[in-house]
Amino acid sequence: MRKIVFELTGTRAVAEMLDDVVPKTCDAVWNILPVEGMSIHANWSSREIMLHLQGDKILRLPPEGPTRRGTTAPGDIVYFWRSPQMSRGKQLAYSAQFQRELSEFALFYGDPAGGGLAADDPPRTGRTSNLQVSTLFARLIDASPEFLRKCEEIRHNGLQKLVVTRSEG
Amino acid sequence: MSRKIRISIPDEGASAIADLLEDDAPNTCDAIWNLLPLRVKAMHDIWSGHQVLVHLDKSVALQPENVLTYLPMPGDVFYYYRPPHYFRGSPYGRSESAELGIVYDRDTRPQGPRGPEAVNLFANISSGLEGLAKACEDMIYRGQKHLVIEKVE
Repeated sequence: MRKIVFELTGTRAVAEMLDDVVPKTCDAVWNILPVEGMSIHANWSSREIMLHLQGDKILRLPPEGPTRRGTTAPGDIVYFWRSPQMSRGKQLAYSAQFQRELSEFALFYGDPAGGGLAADDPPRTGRTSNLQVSTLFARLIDASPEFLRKCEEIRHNGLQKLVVTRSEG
Repeated sequence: MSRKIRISIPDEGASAIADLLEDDAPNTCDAIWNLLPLRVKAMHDIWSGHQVLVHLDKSVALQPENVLTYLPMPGDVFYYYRPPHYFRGSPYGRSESAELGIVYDRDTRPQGPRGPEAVNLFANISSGLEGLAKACEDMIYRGQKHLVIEKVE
């Protein structure tokens, strides 16, 4: 199994890719690494931070693997894509973030994690509507308490730089 | 005339007026009114959508009243209480908590790890929501902000 590394403000976590379950997604992710950006905390999906892929790092992948039932566990790392069509028409405070296409990695760092709220929304998944894709593609296997705390602190302090790299060898 | 409260985020120059729903939530309105003015740190919710929350002193444990059916409207202001050990998970789950929530946009439903929560709807913002909403949403990007709630006399 290939491994990838997440570095967040001086802390680090290692994840193992689910190569045997979702090989195409893992290949696509592997091929854009390293990738970095400002990670943002979820406001619907609980203990989750996200990294929005931008520019030539944007991935537009079809759904892969078994249909998930919408629950996530701490340590799950999900590839998520949302059509720009999905949130059209939102008003008031909705920023550009919620109106544009989203291609992102979502890392569920805490307990309790997303429960039924997380990325998979059955009525809108890619399988039925092509509006949204979420594919579980990796799991944290070694995350320091400091890394998990830094994830949570994004909620309190705002965006933080997150770097995702291949773990070679 | 219902009593009014002012909700401000001074660092952003944002200020809104909310009308207390005294007929529907008289006890909650009285209890919150008597706490004012409040100067607290507000932070963005991570389960509920477009909502910020502030923590009150835990002694402010109120009974359910005018419990929100499920979906709030933008501008709704509510009170929430959970007893100690209400749900699993640290650091929040085990600790008793009394909170106020401010809903600043659509697609929001107050909930936690166990699902929707019963909250006391006690006020609704009648002016200034747009500016306050921008400052609230900005907490996703820049973290906690000071928030002031005071009586409009």
